[in-house]
Amino acid sequence: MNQSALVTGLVLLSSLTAPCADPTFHFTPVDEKIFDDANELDQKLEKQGLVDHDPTAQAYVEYIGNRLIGDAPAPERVTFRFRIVRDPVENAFALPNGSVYVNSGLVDGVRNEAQLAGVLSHEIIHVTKRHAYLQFHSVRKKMVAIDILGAASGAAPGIAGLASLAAGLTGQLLIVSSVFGYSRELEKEADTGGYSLLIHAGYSGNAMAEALETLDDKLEFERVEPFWKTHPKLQERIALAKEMAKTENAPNQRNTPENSYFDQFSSVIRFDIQLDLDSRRARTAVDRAQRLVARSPGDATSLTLLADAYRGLGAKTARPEGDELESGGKKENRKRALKRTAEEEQKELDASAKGQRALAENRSKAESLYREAMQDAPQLGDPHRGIGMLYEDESKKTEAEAEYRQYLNLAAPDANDRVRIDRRLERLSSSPISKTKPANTENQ
Amino acid sequence: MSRRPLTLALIIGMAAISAPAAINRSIRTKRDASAGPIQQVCLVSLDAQLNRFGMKGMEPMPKETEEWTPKIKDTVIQAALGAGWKMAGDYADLSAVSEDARDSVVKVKQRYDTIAVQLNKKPGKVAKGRYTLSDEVALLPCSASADSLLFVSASGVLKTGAREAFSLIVWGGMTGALANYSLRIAFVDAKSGEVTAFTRIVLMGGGKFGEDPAKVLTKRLIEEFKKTGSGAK
Repeated sequence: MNQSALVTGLVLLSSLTAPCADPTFHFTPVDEKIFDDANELDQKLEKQGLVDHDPTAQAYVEYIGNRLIGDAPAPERVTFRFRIVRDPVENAFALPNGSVYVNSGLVDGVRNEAQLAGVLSHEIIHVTKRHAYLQFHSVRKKMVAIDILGAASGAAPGIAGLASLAAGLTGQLLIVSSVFGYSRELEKEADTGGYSLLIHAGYSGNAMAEALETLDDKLEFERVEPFWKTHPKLQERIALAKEMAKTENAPNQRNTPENSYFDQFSSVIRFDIQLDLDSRRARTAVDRAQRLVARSPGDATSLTLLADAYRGLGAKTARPEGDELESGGKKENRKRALKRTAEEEQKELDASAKGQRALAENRSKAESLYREAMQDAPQLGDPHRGIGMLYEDESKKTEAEAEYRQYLNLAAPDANDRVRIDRRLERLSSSPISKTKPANTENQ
Repeated sequence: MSRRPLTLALIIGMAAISAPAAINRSIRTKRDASAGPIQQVCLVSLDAQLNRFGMKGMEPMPKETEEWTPKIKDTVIQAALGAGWKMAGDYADLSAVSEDARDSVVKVKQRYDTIAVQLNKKPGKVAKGRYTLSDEVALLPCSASADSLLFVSASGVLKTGAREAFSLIVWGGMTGALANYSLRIAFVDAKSGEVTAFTRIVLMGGGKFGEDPAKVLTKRLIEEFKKTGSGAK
């Protein structure tokens, strides 16, 4: 059977069954426990403040999710809820109780409503096809086998270690499967079933491949690769999505412009860029903020965010370069990056000519962007805070103090970083006078 | 004598040997004495997880975790008060705090999570000032009054009877304890954001044969907190 015929078969099969639940599925006591765990995880995410509460963004993601579900009845013990999690890693996951979470990093990473719908539709299928339960049963059986194998092999520490590691994974299976992906077969089923949902909701089928391609852009060294990049091989998934789009597509496709998508999610995207900066993902922050600026060039808040992102890059280039792009180099760089703290990484980069060049370039870009933001919105305090920090990094004490004071003049009385800037001013005033060259006054 | 009571007697005997009482060990690393004594602390985050280790591997215990989390929180707070500190804030549960406070805690927690793996792996480097969350900690509402911010992570593993019996037969008694608990607390300077101390306490034992782990833990924590907050290394 050729691939095209296979894809057609898969899509047709999915369109017959999705999003209805598998009628042969019956809850066992173990499944009851998985269901309870899912509810527990919902509460945990809420308690940890990770669920985004922006009403516009929340309503929009609910709208997209409900559009995909349509009138199909939800399976037993499933109440679909679509939420955004504040996590800068591009990922999405669904719990067996119907809670579908999309990370803010993914909301920020894709370009329009149809692409996000492509991701959500995949997750909906994980729920309707009861993948969490199926995966749990399957892996539990394997775990018992590994456990016995470990015991049977005597006291060999390697095997015992493997068994206990695997046992640990089983314990977190719900999270591991949901967040980091299911088996290749289940992921494929979610792709084909999700594709069917996508086009029946009137979205362009091409959006699924586009979303996967967008997410393939590797700017950072992730500690744990999200499932998008691993299960099954991303390129295979992109190929399958393209093949499906050729085979069958929505007849009257919805127009999903990028601008309205960004408007609805603007608060999520801005916060996500800040999270990128808080989690050593300055390259991603630059990339995302550049898109914000490109969409609304005169927006001072976006310009300030982009400037903050360039400042956050420090001695790092905005995109991977040289050996970072090569297979072996990538591995080595990832290993080194994960071993070092952000400060140690910067120190090492700063010691090289390449790093110093990048630092000078990034600082110059940041400064001009802050200046541009100040011109566009003279009453906005944030660019003054950012440029003050930049000057402080450059040991330009007087200039930093002036900018911090200007920030405090302009910022709202209850701005939550007043304390931070006050402390910086206090520290600067008690530190010896800078002996470095004066600030570049060209742009002031 | 049939084989079954003999096996049972063997299991009970070995379990008693393997978990005679709560055994605990702790590590504590500290930046230096210059930070000064701690008077007020703010609980920024508390992650707790109880797991059951049975024949089918490790399984989470969501309901028990739900009950255990506030107990761990109480233990930490009681120990802090017992060490003579005041609580300047508590953000262990963010479901009922203001949006601004929530945003700030999430951002600071994100920073903490970024260094947590390295911190847990090499806590000794705290003494050299290796880890920092930057002065962004000033965004936390409690940062103005607190001297130190606490990031707490607790985990517990309880072995099931079947698992214990299986281990005893297979491993010949080298089974470890019926239950073990681990508590990690990072102390972060509320002004500079630097991680100034890190404490890890491991309790093994408990269950039927050991002391009450909660009592042991509170007692141990108070001792640790007093040493950490005294300003002495």
